[in-house]
Amino acid sequence: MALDDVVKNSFAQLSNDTSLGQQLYNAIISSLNDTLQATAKQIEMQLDPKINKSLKYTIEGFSINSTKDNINPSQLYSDMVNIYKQNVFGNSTFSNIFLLSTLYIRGLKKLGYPDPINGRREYATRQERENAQNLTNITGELLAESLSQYYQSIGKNVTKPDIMANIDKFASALYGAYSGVINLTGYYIITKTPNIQLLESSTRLMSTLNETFISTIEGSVYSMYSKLQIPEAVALILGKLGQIGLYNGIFDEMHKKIGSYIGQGLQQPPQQAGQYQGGQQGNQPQQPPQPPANQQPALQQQQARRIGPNSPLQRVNLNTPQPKVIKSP
Amino acid sequence: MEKLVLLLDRRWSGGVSTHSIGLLLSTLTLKKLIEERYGKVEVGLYFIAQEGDFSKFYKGNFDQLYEKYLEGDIKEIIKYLTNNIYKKPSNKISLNRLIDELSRDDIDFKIFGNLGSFLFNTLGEKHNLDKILNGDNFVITAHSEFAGDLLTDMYGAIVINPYASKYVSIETRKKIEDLFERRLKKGYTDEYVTKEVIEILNDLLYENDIDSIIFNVEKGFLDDEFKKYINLMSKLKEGYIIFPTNILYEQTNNLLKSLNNFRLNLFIGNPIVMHEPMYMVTLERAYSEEINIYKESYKEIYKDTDKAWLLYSGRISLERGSNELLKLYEDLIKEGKKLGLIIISDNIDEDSEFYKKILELSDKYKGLEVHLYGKGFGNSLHEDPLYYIGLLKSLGELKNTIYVNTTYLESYGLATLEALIFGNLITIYRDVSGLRELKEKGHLNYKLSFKDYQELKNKITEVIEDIKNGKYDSYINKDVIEELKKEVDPEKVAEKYAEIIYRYLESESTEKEVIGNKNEEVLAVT
Repeated sequence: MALDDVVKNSFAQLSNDTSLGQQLYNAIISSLNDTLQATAKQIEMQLDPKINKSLKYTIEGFSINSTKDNINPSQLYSDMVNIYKQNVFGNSTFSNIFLLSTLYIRGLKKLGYPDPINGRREYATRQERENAQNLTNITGELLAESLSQYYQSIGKNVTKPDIMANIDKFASALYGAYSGVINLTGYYIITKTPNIQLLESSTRLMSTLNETFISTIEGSVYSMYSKLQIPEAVALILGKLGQIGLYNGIFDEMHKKIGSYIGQGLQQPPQQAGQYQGGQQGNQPQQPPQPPANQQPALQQQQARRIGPNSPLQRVNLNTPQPKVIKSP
Repeated sequence: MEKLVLLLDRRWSGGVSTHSIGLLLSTLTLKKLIEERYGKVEVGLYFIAQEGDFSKFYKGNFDQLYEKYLEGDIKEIIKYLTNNIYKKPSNKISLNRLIDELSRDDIDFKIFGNLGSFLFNTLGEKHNLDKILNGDNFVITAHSEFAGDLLTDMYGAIVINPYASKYVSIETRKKIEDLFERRLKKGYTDEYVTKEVIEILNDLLYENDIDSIIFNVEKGFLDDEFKKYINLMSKLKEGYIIFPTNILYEQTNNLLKSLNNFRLNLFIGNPIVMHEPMYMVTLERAYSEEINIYKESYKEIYKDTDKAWLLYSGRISLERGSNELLKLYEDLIKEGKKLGLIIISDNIDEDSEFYKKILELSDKYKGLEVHLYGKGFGNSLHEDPLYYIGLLKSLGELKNTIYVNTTYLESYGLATLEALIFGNLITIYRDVSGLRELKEKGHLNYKLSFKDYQELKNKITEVIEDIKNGKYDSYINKDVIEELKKEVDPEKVAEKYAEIIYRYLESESTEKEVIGNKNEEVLAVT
């Protein structure tokens, strides 16, 4: 199943949800469905290592390092994904809470607040900051709602306004726990091998998967909000989508897609110094291979949002200046 | 509303140019900081550019850059300078307009990116300086050391220039040559050299008729520039003067002392020693993902762990010690070391002697591998600095590279700090001026400084051995690097500028308040 199918199916289920009301569905859901499917299509391209060179190198590094250590990369990847899934999606109440906390903190960071774990600040465009304000309102409300329900279920008498009063603190603690999932996969590698390169490439791979997943969910909320600028309605839809397992479904599609490339050998390895030596003096710098022109734009739109406009990536992927090499014959 | 002006000098390459980018980023943050405290701030942005033999002046659009800054579009801000976008014909202004705009009474504070902004143009003439620096509401950053620069110019014109021998006496030439060598040997311009330079210049300009013939063409020019320099120095009693290192401050003071021997009374009123803003820190923060991609790409080139690499970044010239670098590489290759050399320099190409020498060595020895990056080869890493950061990071992660700085003169050591901050590279450096100070402050590893060629060779050999034995990390102190990175962050530098401005503005308002109170008292008495 492709990612847009996951979205399509989830929205089909929503259409039968009477609590949303047929009128609301007719007016809004169909347009959201189209928007989110378009987002899903773009994400699919981002998950294609033939287009996303960063992902390509991450997968290659992981495959090479695990093979060198006589570890089956596909098996190792599957183990890591299971650890991730167990910790993030293992408890359905908390999977939603983890995601909401992470989205909430990411929103705060865009508003200029430091990351609660490493204290780093990030840049955000004005548009992103405006969206982030709405995102934190929506996710903050949803998070408080989910947490108060959870506490009531374990017999703690707490109201939503009580949680809202300290929402930043709740979110920071949960975000910290969620971020620790990547470290857990690292811990798993360390128990298997002292190979630090494998540890680094595994962590990079899982971080890439995690970042793509979270930014997809985040992107979906933004697109949804851009179509339907009623925070309460977006919150309602988000809650419903969580309940029917859209997020879990999206993650499954993503990790399967990446998994399908692991151990495949992808393409020929990237150019190395040895390839353009030839013992000749005065070699001209070589241009690295360029991706086919028709594969660039969609990915670039995605990346441009994340890495800033006019990035060299928008011109040519990996067009890094290559050294002029002088070697002894 | 507060009003600031910023003048950036874009006539030079190297440190002054790099600093102007960092200072622009700092000023963008500064606007935000001051607005948080005092409300709306207006910033006038001006540039000096070199066109042919003349300085030309431009007015930039600071508000447009501020928008981009808020949007996080740091690349566009940098391109505004590096791609000369500010040089639109409609932005061009006359010298008189620049002077008028910099002299306006409603300006609360003025920031000048380069002490040398007032030289090699008419801004430094007394009547212009009196208008522009008409109070104590300014800060100027010093970069180069004037006596040392004068000596280098005299060395070029009188010692190296073959025609000079016809016009300048052997004694004067010998004296300049000795001073030049003494300066290289000591690693900085000491009080004696400064004093002698000023005396020789005085002789050449005003006393020694025979020697001054060589200056027939240049005499008027030098005379003018020297007067402008003295005009400028006479203004430094007021305002705030920033030096990137104590040694540069000390050398500037030595020059003032020497000039004071000619019955002048020059001194620096408010010297401040602080790090220069490093714009690459902002870039790294804003584009970390993109840099990561470049890093991975360069890792593919340098991942052959069998070989260690020496990295040199900077101009290829005598005072930069580049000949020693090549000799070092030759000697180590001759000994059979598995070693590559990476040179990042925008001032070599296939016609340069340095390049030809590398070709000769490649014919002579086995195992040589030199990688060159620079404008001359169409693969400059500085056109888009993200590439350079990516390369430094890749080399740092591979833990097989030693950054070597062989320069004899360094007022600050920006490239060395970049290698340390972005690459966490092992950094070997000559124990001279700015670099010595960075060592004394604990920024550079004290074990890795060298005084002469033999010590350089011994240390490199030892470090290569240690790298082979997996001891790379023993040379790196990540806490120090992190701390340093914070210090050079343009945002952090902006906070220091803000402190200077708050101090100034608040002392001004106290003064106004005192005058106001006195007036009220007078009125009450009346």
